[in-house]
Amino acid sequence: MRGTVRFAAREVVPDPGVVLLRAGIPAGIEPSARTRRLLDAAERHFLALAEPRGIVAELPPAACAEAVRASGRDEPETVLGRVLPLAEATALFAATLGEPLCAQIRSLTAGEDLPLGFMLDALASEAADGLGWRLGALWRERLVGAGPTSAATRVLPYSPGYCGWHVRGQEALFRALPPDPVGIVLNASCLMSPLKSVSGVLVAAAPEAHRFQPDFPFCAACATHECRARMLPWPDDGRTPSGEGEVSWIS
Amino acid sequence: MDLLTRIANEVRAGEPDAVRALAAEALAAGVAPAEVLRGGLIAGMTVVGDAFRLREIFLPDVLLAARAMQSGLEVLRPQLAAGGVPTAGRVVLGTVRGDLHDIGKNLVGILLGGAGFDVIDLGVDVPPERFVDSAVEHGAAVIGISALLTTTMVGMREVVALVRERGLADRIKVIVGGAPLTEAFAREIGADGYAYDAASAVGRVKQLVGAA
Repeated sequence: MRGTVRFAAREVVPDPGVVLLRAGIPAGIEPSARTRRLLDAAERHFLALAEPRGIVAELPPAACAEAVRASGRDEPETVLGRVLPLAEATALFAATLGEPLCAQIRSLTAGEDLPLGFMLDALASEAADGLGWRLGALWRERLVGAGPTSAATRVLPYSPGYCGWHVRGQEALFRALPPDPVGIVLNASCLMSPLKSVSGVLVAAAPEAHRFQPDFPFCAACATHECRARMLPWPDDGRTPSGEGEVSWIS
Repeated sequence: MDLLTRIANEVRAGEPDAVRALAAEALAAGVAPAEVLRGGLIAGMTVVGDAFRLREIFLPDVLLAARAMQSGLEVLRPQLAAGGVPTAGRVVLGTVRGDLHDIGKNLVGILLGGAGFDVIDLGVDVPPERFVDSAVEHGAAVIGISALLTTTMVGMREVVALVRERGLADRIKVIVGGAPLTEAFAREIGADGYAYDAASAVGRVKQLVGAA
């Protein structure tokens, strides 16, 4: 099964509190009036320029595991390596906010208006991260009741560059997707263009399959342990797709 | 209130038009450009940096102040260049190879610029050789490397190794930072410094410049 999705820009605008957090303002702190004005201006730019879209390509877990291992530069043991054997279904995904928005961020941060560029970057980064989750939610709707999945099944995105999966893994991942999926291309370092893009593997599995202790050797060198937050129940914070976007599935 | 204090206050308030006008007024009144820079622009940004370190203000406010400072610098730049005003030091900055996250690195650059450093920003996805070659070419005392990905931060080790391999460790210091990094990791790879965040980076770079 393969699906392409076009979201409405307003559908993927992240919660302001999350954007402010990414912009360095701690939760519970009231931003200054000028910061609030920056956020409002950034949102206007986002709504005018973002072209959010993505692709989901289902692949059997074994084939997915093979594609994931192909970088040859991963840590000996990875989070995904532990989760994949427990997967009920897997899919590759790639999603982007499109080049016009990224060009605007570059232009603003290059000197036109750095504070606005910074805020727009924070907003776009949150929105791009959310695209993986949104694609996962849409794919889950298709899966539940159609296979080995159940109502308890949870879909989480896992991306190259994190938790032992080398960013070079993107090369193999993109080989398994259609050419230039949704307009994303990789550079020589396997980094995506447009910049505000995400890719990886969607893993559908029982909730406990996604839970692990950050006790991998590489976890000792990581200060954030953001993986823990991923394992919490995903709140209904407005990021669930509203269906305004255009979805087309090819079974 | 004297002109320099007013400039510093407008930098803190993030008002580029006011800073530009006051900087021009100060020059017209015969204040030396270096004095406008130190007593007005850098003085304002120093207060901003301190408030940021104390978490009284946050990143967007720092950026607005930095933009205001830049507008004043534009007015001063022709005369500063002609007068050859010394900087606090030269720093080469970049995001490690394979990583394209640049916000943290940009903030460090802005705060260093605000503290009077001359910053050469190499951008993102920078190979080790380019860090070292640029530092040599520009006579930089410090290389600052940023990473956000746990899988790319190991590339910082290559930069440190290259500095040593070329016999430059006594005059070029390496400082590392980025969300997933720890001080223990910085020590393990042999970096000369580690900065927890953009605000602390300025203090660490000042120490390293003194040591270089």
